[in-house]
Amino acid sequence: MKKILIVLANVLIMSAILIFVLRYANNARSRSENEQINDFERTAASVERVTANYLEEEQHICDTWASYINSALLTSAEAMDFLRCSQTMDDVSAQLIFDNGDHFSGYTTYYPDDNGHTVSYKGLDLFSGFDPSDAGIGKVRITRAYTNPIKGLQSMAFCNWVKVIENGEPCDALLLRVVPVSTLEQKWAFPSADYELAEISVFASDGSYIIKSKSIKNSNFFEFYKSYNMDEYIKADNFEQKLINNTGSLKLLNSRGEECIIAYTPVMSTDNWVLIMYMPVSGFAPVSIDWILVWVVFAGLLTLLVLDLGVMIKFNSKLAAAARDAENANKAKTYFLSAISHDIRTPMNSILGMNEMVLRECDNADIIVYSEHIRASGNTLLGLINDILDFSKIEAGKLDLIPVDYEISSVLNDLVNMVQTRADIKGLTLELNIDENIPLMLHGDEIRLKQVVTNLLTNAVKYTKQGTVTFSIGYEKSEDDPDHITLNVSVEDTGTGIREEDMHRLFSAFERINETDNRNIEGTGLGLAITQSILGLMGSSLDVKSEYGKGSAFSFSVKQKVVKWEPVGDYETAFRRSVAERKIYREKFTAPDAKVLVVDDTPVNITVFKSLLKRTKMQIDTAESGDECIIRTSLVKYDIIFLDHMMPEKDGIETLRELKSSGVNKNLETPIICLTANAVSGMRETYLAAGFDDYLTKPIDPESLENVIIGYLPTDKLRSAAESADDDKDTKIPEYMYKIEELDVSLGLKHCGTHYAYMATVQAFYETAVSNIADIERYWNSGDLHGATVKVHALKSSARIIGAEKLGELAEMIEKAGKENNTDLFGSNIDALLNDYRILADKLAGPDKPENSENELPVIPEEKLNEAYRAILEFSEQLDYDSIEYIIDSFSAYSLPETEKKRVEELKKAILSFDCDAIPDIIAKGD
Amino acid sequence: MRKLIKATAAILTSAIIATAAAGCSQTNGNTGEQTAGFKPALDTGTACSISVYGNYGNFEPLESEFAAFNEYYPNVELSYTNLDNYKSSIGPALKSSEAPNIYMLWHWMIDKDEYSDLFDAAENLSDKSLGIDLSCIKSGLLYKDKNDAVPMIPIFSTTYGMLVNEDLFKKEGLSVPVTYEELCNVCKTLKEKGYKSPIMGYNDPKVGSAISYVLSYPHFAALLINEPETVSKLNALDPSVAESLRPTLEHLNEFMMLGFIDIDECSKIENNYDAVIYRFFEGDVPMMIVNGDVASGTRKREKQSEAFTASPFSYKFYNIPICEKGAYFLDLSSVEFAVNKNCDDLAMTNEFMRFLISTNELNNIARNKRLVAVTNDMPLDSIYSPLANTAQDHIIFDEDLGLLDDPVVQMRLLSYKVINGEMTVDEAVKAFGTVKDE
Repeated sequence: MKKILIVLANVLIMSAILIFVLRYANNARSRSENEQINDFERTAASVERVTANYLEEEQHICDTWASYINSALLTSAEAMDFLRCSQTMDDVSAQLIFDNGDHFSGYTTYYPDDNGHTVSYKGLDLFSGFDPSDAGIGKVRITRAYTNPIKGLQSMAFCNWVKVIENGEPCDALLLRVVPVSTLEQKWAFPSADYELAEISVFASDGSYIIKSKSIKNSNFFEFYKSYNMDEYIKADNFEQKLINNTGSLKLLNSRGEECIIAYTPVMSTDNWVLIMYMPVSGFAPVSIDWILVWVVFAGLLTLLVLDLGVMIKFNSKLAAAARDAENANKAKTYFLSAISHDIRTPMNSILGMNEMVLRECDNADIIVYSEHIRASGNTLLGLINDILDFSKIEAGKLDLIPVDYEISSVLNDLVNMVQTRADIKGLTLELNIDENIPLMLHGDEIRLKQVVTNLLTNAVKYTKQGTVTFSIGYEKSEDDPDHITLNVSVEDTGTGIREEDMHRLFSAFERINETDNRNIEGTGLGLAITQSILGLMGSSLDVKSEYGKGSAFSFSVKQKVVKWEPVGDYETAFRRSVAERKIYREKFTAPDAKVLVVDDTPVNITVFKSLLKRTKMQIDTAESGDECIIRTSLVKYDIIFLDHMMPEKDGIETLRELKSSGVNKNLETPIICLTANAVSGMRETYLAAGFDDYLTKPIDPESLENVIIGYLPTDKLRSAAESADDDKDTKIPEYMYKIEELDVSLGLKHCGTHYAYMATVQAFYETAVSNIADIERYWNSGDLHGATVKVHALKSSARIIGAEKLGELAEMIEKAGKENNTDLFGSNIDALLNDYRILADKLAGPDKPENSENELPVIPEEKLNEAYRAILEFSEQLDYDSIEYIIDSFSAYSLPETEKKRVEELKKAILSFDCDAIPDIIAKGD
Repeated sequence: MRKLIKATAAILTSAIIATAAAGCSQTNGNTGEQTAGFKPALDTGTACSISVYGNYGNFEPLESEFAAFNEYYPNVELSYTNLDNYKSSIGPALKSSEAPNIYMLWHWMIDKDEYSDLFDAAENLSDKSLGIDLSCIKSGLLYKDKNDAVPMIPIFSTTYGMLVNEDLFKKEGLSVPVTYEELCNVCKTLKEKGYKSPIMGYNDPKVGSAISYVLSYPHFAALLINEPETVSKLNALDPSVAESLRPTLEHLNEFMMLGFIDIDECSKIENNYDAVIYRFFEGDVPMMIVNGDVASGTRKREKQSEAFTASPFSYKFYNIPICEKGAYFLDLSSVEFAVNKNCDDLAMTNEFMRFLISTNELNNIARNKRLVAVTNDMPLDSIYSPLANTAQDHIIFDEDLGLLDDPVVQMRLLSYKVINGEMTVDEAVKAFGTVKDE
């Protein structure tokens, strides 16, 4: 899953939990708010009880007064006297008032100026609801709060009707017990300080206020509610009745738009009065969401998320490291394959090359048989290496099909040749069913087709102990495409067969079926995996039918384009005849006028190369480094240059670039073929991209080598091959060489194959000893361990080839130290190695060693001398001391005139003192 | 990945903070803004109570001022109390144990014996030691007694005029009249278009917003503005100047004769406040005669009027061009505040008055009450915006006019009788000084 999805999932879960917690906390808040409101309602109910009790008490006093007055039938004056005596509280007054039609007026027990004791309620509509018929006791009759016209205080009046004698006539009068509202308000002591902002109002059933607190506006509560809460009023059906008849609470907006709570409850003993307790919401203790809980949960979740992500990062980094390791391992594997390819192919070059020479030049039938075995084994080994290389290519996805035009008969030849030999060795019968109508010339990847069939055929031979291997190949015309045919190939054997349960492992890499029984059969277990992969690239697949103990049949079909519809004919007959007429090796051409240069840092490889082309009579020059190559090519025009890739200091590609970029080189147009033991995937593209015209892999296949030369050599220099005598007969090994204790001549001969090859190799070993020793010392002294190691590696190979086994072992040990960067070990042994090297080289010179005395040397041609000086001048401008040194060294092969000897000595001194500036003067001197 | 963690944490944190902020946010009440320039002169920690008595059922704009004052003096408890039968109860109240610190007075109370106690109890607010800045008030509204003392300070100004249904005028293709002639023409046109009573108003002799009074008083004042002797005699109800009423009454009578006001229809309006407004909100009255106090109640009742809610229209307050010279803007003091010089916490009471009597606060309270401000810069609520066009010589102030309540009451009662056919103009002029409120 992508990281972002994991993070999103985490965030979603966090959000869900947070939402839950928020909702939970919000619910808790709502519960607390409800609890507060419930408490508020209960407080309102308590206040209502206090109020009702107070009203009842006050009404009771008024009723008591009324009862007395009524029972005694007093005059109004007597009644007032009674009332003045009865009421003793300063803030309470008693009044006896009469209905005058449009207003009430009468007497009061209190008057500030004690003058008149009269009171008028003109303009105040307070008593219209009272009727004399309603007289009696036990019922609270009370006016709304009003401003007492005598005292100017906000007051309420408890009322009852009495009959008094006024003006001699009995008449109804309203007895009032007038009490300041503040007296009642004092009774409304709230039980809790939580209600500091609470206000209490009382209104009648029509909404008109009995007592109105300061925040309650309008002249009527219902109007007040409607004024600021019209929407809610409309929603609340029959709002008034609900308020009058029930106890409860509601939220409303006050005149300032503030949210308030009103708890309402009917006032007992009154005529549908309602007590409301009002308080702004802000007056309640703030109940907020438990943010601590939310934050703790959030912080916890965030921590978890960060931890999760941290763990994920750590885990991912481990995975990434593992991936890197795997990648590195893969690179290491590729490097290993490359290295093993190089390391195996290099000696294989010698083995197969020398063996080829044996086959070509030996008349002894037994030796030829042995040599054939060497060739077969060598080829098997190469096949194994190739399998591994192919597999590495397949794994890297770099196995490409390279379709070319090919003759099917040629393919068949190669295949049958190969399998026939093996079948013969095992005593198996090879049956061929070749459709003689198969078109002769096809277009496809011949190499890979051959590889697939080869694999099947070699497997069939490998796993068949006795009986027959049948190779069949037929074709069908393609219905979709008239230019194409489908080749149907099958290989059947009477071998061990494959168990049903092993069939699924057949195509697994490095899996070998029935390992126990087949342990003596060589192979990597890659063959069928590669075959299947190649067929997959060709749009085909391998079909397997097998019966354990009876044999197997492998078949496949591939589509190929037809180039020539001419039938291949009776192939089998032709093949049998060719086998019978098979001749020993003949060179394909001779080219005595052709000049080729082979560049390889390993002298043995050069020897093999020269040997392989010996019969072609070509003029072969050699160079052992890139710099030498540059000098050689600047001096001589070659027809083909074979350039090794892996060389110390300047590798093949660098050399090629320098050569091509010099502008004055004589070989700018010369085809340059890369020699490489590095045959892993992708190298072909690398070489061609680098500017090589072609490449040959080591060990060099003689036929491929000749084919390449034929391809690139100018045709006028090619001549038909002629019979030639065996040169080796003329080649003798000097007696003194058998006496050199550091040298095992027989071993050397074994390695080199022929006397000629051996002597050529020894000669090369001897001739290069001085410069090699100098190179190794130079690298070592300049701290270039790698360069020194490469040269020691070359010494190891060449020493062993000539039979100098001890020197080879010492070189191998030092090479290993060099590769392991073990400078101490390298340094402590390098002198001994070089000393042994020198001793061997000296001994190889022989008792009458050619001293190359001046007198014996040829006089240097003037033209060559001048050319050399021109080259020295050119290199001096580039400060290329190595090249100058090389040219000067090359003078040792010639006898120089006395004047030039001096000049050469001066040049040597200039080089030793790194004084390039002096070179032009030295060369110009005496001209 | 680390960026991803940071981004995730940031997103979540922001979300939570936002949620928290939303959750934590509480409705802040109107804390008010401190008045620029006002600096408390007393200990701001002083705790005391200040009560204001008046005849307004509700006085929310004043309560807003209480809140603003509490910004400076948070421990001062201010309250407003509506007294029943204020004219008669404020006297006893001033003598009671619950005497107010501040109480309402009106211009019409001046020089009346029954209210002399109220003036006696009032502190001289022009006393320099109090630091009250009276200069912010229009001088024509500020009453000074014979001792040059200022016992009361106007809080609001009021005027007389009419609410004009501007959408109706637009619909009928009419312009609001600015001259008497235009008034007559507009009324005539409206009448022809089927409006039974192009002008309506409350028809009652007892109130100042009655149709007869509002139509006659500007005319009467315009005649007397430069007649101080006549005014003086009128104040003394001197019969010798009774004839000064005649032009106004005749003009009123003539106008009524034009039939632009259906008195019977006007008499159906039950009171001089809600009923007038709701009737106007019916939408079929082109011009409704009101005073500023009635006009101030319109906004609050817009939502309460089903007719207006269903078919809202734009309306404004205009002076009536009832005079031959057009309309007069009578800028009259409405409510005035007096300080009970015998009250508890007098110093803090004066401090409140010092706070209230400032351009800023008086404008605030007028704006909230939707009345005309008493300050010199007189910002006008949008409803009064037509008054801004009034020519300076058509503005008449209380104190410039000098007319007291008695002659005004006479004019009010007599004009009522004239337009209701109870008296002829001659009878009315003859009855000057003799008619009384019932």
